[in-house]
Amino acid sequence: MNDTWLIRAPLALVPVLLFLAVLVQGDSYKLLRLKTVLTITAAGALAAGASYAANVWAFAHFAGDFQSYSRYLSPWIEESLKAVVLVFLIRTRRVGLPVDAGIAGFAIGTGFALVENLYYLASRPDTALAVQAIRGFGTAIMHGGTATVLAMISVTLYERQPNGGLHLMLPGYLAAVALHAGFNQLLMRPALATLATVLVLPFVIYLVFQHSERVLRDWLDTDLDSNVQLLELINSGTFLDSPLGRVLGSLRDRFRGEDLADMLCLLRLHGELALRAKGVLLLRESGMEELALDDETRDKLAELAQLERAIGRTGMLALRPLMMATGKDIWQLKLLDR
Amino acid sequence: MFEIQLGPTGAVMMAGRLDATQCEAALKFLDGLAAQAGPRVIDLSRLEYIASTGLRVFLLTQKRSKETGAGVRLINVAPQVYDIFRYAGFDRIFDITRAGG
Repeated sequence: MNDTWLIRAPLALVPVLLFLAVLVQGDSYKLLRLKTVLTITAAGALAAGASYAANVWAFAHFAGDFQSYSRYLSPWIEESLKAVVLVFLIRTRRVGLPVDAGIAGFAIGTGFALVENLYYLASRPDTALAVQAIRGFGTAIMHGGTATVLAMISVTLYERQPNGGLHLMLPGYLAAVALHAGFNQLLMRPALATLATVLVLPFVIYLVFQHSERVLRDWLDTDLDSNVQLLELINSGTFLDSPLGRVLGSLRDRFRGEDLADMLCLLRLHGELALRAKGVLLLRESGMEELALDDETRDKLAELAQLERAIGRTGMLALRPLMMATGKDIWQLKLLDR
Repeated sequence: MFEIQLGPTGAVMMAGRLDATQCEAALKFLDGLAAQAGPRVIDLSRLEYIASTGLRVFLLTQKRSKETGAGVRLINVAPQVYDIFRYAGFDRIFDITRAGG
């Protein structure tokens, strides 16, 4: 390792890592643990490896020059591979809010950019210092930014349709490809591309994160009240006389009595666990040490899973109007389970 | 309607509804007692309702009290408020006694 490498490597690698650290640190609710962020970053690095192989193959079959390839084809390939990691995270409910999805997206882009820039450092050791600076402040931040955009748009769409198909990833994917291709269009004027990326993307991401945190806080407040009211109704024995209770009663013609009893138990358990999850979020927000999952909560999670199986898919669909099953409602229970 | 005051025994008495509009006042009052030695005792026998913002007030007070080696004791907590603390898992954070318990 020579002195030049010691200057070039930080220029190429540190900006994107710093940006990721700021995002993780700025999340008041600590939605993603450091270990998870590092794992996601590693997955992004693997995506970069796969992207290298795919790009080599695709360029060999491409009729145009490298400039056209990087403008029109490589963004589709690279954003697809980053999206694969996000599909896994969103579909398994490991992320469920714009904030944690955004951090996860940036972590994927960071892993991707680190591998790409390390490859450049190793394969072109004599490249001008300015080029490494452009790769560090421009290309790397762009990779993080496009994956953040993809993640935040996708998770917002899944919030409304938590069981929706892969097509919900499409708008975010197209936005990410457009941004990536736009950056590559400016490759002839790399300083301009870097300046635009450094000035615009962090600012936009910051604003969106601020807004998402406010939305999360509002949801925490209103949904906690809804959970409390539902539990009070059930515990007071007046639930069946309430509008929600009448919805459950209307299912009598379609389900057996024992199924309805299971549904009532599930509503109660879901409400209790949702409150528990909100307790975890409030603890994290206030910066207090989080307690380990207790046996009672673990048993409740197991019972919830058992009740969901007993009620079946049709029963769960019938219960959806009562459980306000948005993406966040499902995600919050996963928060307890990890 | 929300009231917070120091009771004759030195315990903080809360009454009414602790929602978003009242949290700042509650936190300010509790912060004003920061110099008080020993655990901070808060009597919740007349607290009828608590929102998530109210829970934040107790968490922040607990955090600040712990920093000085003390803590928060919640006493005479009405059943409907006690249940919220319990469901949220805060019965493991606070020294909490249910009304009549």
